[in-house]
Amino acid sequence: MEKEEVISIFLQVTIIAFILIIAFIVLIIFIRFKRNTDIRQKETMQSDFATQLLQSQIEVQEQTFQQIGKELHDNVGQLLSTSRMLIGLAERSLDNPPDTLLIANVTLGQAITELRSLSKSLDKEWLEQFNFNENLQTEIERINASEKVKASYHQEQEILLKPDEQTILFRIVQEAIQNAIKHANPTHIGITTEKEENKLHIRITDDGTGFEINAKGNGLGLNNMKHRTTLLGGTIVWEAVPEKGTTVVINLPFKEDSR
Amino acid sequence: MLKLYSMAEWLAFLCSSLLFAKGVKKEYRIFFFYTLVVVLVEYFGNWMASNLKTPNHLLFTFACFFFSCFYFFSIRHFLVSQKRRKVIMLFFLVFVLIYIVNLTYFQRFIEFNSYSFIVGYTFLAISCTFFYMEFINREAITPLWGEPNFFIVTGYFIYSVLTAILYTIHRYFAYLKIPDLNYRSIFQQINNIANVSLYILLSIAFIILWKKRKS
Repeated sequence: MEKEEVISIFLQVTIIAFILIIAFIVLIIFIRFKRNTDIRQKETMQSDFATQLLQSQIEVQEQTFQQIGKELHDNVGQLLSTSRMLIGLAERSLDNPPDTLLIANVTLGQAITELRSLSKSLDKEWLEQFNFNENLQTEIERINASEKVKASYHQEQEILLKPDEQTILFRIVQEAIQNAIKHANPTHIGITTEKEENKLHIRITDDGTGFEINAKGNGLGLNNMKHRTTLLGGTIVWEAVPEKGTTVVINLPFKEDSR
Repeated sequence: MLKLYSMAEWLAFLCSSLLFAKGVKKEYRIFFFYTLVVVLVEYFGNWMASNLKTPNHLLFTFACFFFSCFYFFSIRHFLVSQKRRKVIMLFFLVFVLIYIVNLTYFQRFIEFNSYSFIVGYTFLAISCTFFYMEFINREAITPLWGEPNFFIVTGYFIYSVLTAILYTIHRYFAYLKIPDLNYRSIFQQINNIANVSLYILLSIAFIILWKKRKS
């Protein structure tokens, strides 16, 4: 074997080896890059699917609320109105109607008013006719009318949101109020809204018994609120101290609707 | 004047000092001591050859053994799979055994113990592919520029494959005993490519670690 031939073999083997090494490393990088793209796509698809699922769940809930609202208004409401009319006729047919009958008439009147108000608060189409502040104010009036708890609403500015967003937000606040009334037995519920340039902060505070955030049985309602907030692109936090009340803080990205 | 591979060694040494910045994972600080030993060995090797006019193969036989052990343990540390870690440990033990046998019975202290390193670097290249398997199969998004271990292992991989091939060809031609053949220069050049690739990739890894530090 010649000297030049040996050197040439040396060089050839090294060059081929070096090219193969580089090709191997490039292949590894390429596979990793492709895998990153696949994972990213999978994550996007999962997130889209979760959002769609959430949206359809909320749509189904809204349809159910609407149906219940209509049933209450058209069916139960009509029955109550008829009963009230009959009591009124009975009242008029008697010269000296008993107090119980008069009280029953008044109570039925209150029940009809509350039922109408409740059925309206369940109807998405009705809610969309008003802005968030107006709907919340009506809800506060409805709660105060029951005289079980005193609710107040403090707003700094009017909040104009898109119809869908406003209904979702209203449902979150409604759920927080209902949770407080049902589980915490408060004497006062306060709601404040604060608007910054691109953010909206809502606080729902009660002076009830509070609750254990991680306790069993809190799941469904709180999860509903969480999901709805996620759909609006915001965050929700519960600050609950047993026997000292609960504060629900909702932070949302905010873009004023120019309706 | 500094040779190219010495410059690469110094660059890696300087970059490794970044690993002492606050927020860099402490386990990587060992690379500073590794690069320090690399620079010192290179300096003493050259000094022995030029000033003492004595062969420095013994120094490199021990130094390369130390470096190979360090490479094995660092790759083992980067792996997640316990099974692969055990295989690397097995590779390491076989390498140590071969090194001792070669040093005692075959190449001894007379020449550079290339047989041991042909085996050792082959095992090291296989160990690097274990890391690559974990790297490409990772379920989380792994951007290349956020993965310093990839650059470290790639440095080991290029170095070990090139050096293993180089030593094998070298031994083969030495066996043929071709008269008047002086391929020292070309041997040096190829060895330099392996060294420069290793130290540049290590430097990149150290810079990434420094940039990724927690504030």
